[in-house]
Amino acid sequence: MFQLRLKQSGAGSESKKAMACDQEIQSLLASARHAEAFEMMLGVYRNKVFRLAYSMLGDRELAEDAAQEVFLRIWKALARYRRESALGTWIYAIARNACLTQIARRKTHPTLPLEEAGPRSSGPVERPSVDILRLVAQLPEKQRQVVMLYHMEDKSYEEVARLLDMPMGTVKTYLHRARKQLATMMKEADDAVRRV
Amino acid sequence: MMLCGEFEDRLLDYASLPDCEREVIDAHLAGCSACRMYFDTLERVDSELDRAFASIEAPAGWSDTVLRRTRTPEPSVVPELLDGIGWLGVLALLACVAFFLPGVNLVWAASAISVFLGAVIWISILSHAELKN
Repeated sequence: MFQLRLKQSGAGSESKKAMACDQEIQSLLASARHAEAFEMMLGVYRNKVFRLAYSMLGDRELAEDAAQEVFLRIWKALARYRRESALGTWIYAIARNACLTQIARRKTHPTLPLEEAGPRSSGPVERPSVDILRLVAQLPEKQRQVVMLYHMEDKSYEEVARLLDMPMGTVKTYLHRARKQLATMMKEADDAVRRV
Repeated sequence: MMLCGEFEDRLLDYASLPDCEREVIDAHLAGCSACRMYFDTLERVDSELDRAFASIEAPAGWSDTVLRRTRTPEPSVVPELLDGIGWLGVLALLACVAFFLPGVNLVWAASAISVFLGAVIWISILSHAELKN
């Protein structure tokens, strides 16, 4: 009866592609072909970096700007990249730092996260819809990042852990808490709609 | 006998549970409307999250903008800060050397050494900050 409710889990095809391309990028860098290496890097990592930025900043436009900033930083630092860490680890570390800088900047000039203003669609809906973005925006920061990335990254705990540089157990714990809290918030919102 | 409160956590992990445990939960869900409602809410949460976040990608044309912005000189092995401030240090060093030659004013020599040391400290601080970034 409830058997169909299984979730898919596993590393996305993008991460496999990234791993396969890393070696090629490394060899381009070794022969100082920076522009080619960068272009390839951009193709492989642009979505990952964008999603990471979106999950951390909670706003698509800010994420676009931050992800651009990340790649500019990567471009400037490319010649100094050492193979001590995996390429992805290096890129994600730069991305996290850039986003943390943005968050710190935003604390002095706050904006609404996750397109918080108003419902997303004005058309007819099947049931009194709860705006999930609004609920996600109310989660604690780490839970929000994990839950967003988990759904963006093909439900792969491993990828989320890698992107956020967290142990996989911590990712699972945050996800568990986030879903629990979202279910509670959604139930409360449903009850409120019913009372009206 | 498991109580409804205990089922909540199990329902959150439903997908990763072994078949035998899932059967127990299915049996409970069949007879408990409160837990079934909670499970339905969880399902709605998951499907709404998928709808909101699955297949999110960087916007089209975004990469071109990045590439345009990077069409600058090739990245340098020397941190950028060294390019400007580094030259100041080199000049000061040359001045220091020159002032040890016979007939050189000591005040000028002291000034040159101060500038040189200042530049070295400044470079160290900024390079460290840049590499940290």
